[in-house]
Amino acid sequence: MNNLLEIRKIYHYYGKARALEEINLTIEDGALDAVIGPNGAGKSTLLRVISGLEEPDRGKIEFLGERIDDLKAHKIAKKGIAHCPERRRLFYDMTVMENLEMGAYTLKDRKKFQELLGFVFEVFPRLKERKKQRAGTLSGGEQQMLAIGRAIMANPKLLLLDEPSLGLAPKIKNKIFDTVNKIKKEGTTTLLVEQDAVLAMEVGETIHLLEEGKIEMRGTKEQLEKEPRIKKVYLGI
Amino acid sequence: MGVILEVKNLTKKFSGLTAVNDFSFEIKRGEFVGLIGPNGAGKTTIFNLISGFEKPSSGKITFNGKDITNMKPFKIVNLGIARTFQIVRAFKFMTLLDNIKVSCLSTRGKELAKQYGIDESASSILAAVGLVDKARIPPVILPHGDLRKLQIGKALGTNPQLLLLDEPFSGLSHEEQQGITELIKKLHDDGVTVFMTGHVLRELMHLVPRVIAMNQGKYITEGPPQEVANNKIVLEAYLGKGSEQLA
Amino acid sequence: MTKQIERISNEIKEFPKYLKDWAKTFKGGLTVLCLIGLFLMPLVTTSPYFLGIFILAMIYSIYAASWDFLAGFVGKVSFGQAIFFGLSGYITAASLKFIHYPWWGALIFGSLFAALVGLIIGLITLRLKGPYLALGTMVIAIILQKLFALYELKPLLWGDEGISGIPPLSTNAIEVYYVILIFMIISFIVMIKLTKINIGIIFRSIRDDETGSDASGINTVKYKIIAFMISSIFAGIAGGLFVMINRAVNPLIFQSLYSFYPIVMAALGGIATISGAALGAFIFVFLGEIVRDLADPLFIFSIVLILIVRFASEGILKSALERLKEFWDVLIGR
Repeated sequence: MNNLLEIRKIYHYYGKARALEEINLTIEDGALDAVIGPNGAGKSTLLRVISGLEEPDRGKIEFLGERIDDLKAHKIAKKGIAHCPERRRLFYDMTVMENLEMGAYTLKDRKKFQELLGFVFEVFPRLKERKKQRAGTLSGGEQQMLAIGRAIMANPKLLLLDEPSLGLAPKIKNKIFDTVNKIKKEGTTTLLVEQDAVLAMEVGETIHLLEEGKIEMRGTKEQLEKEPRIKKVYLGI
Repeated sequence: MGVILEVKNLTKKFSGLTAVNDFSFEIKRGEFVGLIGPNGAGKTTIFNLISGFEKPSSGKITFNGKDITNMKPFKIVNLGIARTFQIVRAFKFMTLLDNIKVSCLSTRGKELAKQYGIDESASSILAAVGLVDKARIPPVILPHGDLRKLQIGKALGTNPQLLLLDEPFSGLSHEEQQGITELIKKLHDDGVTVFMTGHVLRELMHLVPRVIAMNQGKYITEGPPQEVANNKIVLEAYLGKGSEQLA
Repeated sequence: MTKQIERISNEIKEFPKYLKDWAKTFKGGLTVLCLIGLFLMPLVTTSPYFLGIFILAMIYSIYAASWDFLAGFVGKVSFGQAIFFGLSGYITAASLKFIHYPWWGALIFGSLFAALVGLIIGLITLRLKGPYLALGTMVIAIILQKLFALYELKPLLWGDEGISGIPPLSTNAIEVYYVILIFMIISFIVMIKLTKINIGIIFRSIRDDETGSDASGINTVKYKIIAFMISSIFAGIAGGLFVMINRAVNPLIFQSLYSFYPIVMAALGGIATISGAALGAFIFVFLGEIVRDLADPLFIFSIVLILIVRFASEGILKSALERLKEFWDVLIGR
């Protein structure tokens, strides 16, 4: 199995505050991996560094064998990485349909566009119902669906999901995670960042535990559950 | 030991969102207390409410018996509550010494500095936080850990009885964190009541004898760190529903 | 208390030595040279025209410094400095012409009035930040200009003709020159000293981080108002002197151009330096005279502003001083 994404010795600072320290991480083609950790651990920063919204201070990132750590975000997006950011960040004044169209900005193939749109509406029928509704008027859960849908429309090879369950009710959370599984079945590699460790471990194949910018441990759900480290990382004691 | 801070039924609403919900607790003079909760729980809002940077929607805050609920921030400082900020603030175009001097020029700070003069007072505070050899340098060149120390120094300049530390460890290396821990311990030993909050719980949970836990604006529980960390609701708040098996 | 008296008497005792040491420094020596030059200027020429240029430059120096004090040291950028310049001008003019105050009385009256207005404007614009403060002050100046030009208010505010035929400060141009030179020196000493003592530290903390200043226990509202009043009183002094030189005042004194002048001059010389304001004012006035017949002053002024922003955003003073110092070091063989 190929490595879709390889992160080697990545360091990142926000001014003087250290955000990421010596991150080594690989994602295999077709995987659904998760990064968990307490708030402030650097999870969002990690995704931002991958998608190019932040330039890492040190280290290398390779996507499909090509270096991307020195590329600008829009170039990285063109290569096939879609980033669904924390707290959604939709185009709130645009309609659901327009948001989805914006997601497909780099897509030239009209047929593919219809295909993807069909998929999005299949997993999120509520979005189909509200095609013409302004994104800002959707509920929290619907907005999250739209954000993920928008990312899917880019037909990504790698999907980065930043805390999709943030602020959502448990029922909707489950729905979102079911969809993430469906996306994986379609063949899209996904890196999921989550604060909700339990949910993340339900879906993730390889789980990386991030603490204060460092990968504290990684493994499968079963491996992690054996260690009391998770509680210690989240609660300090 | 008397009660130094009393928070009763504190509520803060921001257009539809209830950031703090009917929150009550008290802190005794000389105590060392932590406030924990996952992201967005409302910790910084509570600090903002106590220090006067936000006005509560309802509820009461009492300091040394005095109602400070709707007071202006600088007045609260001059009564004896000082705070640091999550994102480090400094007077970036002034020297470190001048940064501290500003606090010494507050009404309360001036009283403390009366005996030895403002310059000497500021210098000794810089020395107390371990930055005296950088007195003439502006904050721009300093590493993050020193900036956090500077913030604490600025708070000390106002001669506080109660020190509110908002995420004093965030963004620091382990050595830097230890440095801050030493400093905070020393301040507490000197008699300052310390109330701190943070995401980096590794240091905090081993530092404070008592911890108050909150989530989504609501009070969950309080007690010794070990107990609180094993509390079912606290675990769920941090790790998600069904997290007992991770305890 | 005794400690403070001790400290002040020590300062006074040390003063002559302090002065000598300061004059020996590069900046100090240069300043002393410039001041000597200014003092000796009337010996070089007694032409009212030339002295007039210097007088205008000195008045504008005070005006520009008043703006720099507020913007560079307290962080409040005013686009309406003409409010105080003009109001003091009118009060000074009216007291001179209609109440027959002596020139210094009229000037005190005008400046104190400017300070009062500074207090009011400070209170009004207190919560305005950045661009809104600039806009607010600009709007007030425009309102004043319209108000003072209103035909209906002529009996009260003299309409668009303003007040003319104001008795002069003195008929002797040289006397006027020295009076204004003294005013400039004293104004600068006071403003610079204010930035150096404790209150200056408080002002700068408000500039660098107002919330942080609040969190340090400073009553920022009180100090912002004090800063406004200091700035307005000096702008008022400049305005009163300006009116006395021109022997007249009219609503055009409130025009935006007069609010922009101190900004350009301070920027030219170097914001947050106070002394830069003097350099900027002198360059500006001299430049204005040189190109006066060539182009519209507003045009020149815009070009200068663009050049400053593009090439010398820190102002000329700092880099010029550095170059001069290097040159001086080479000269004396360091």
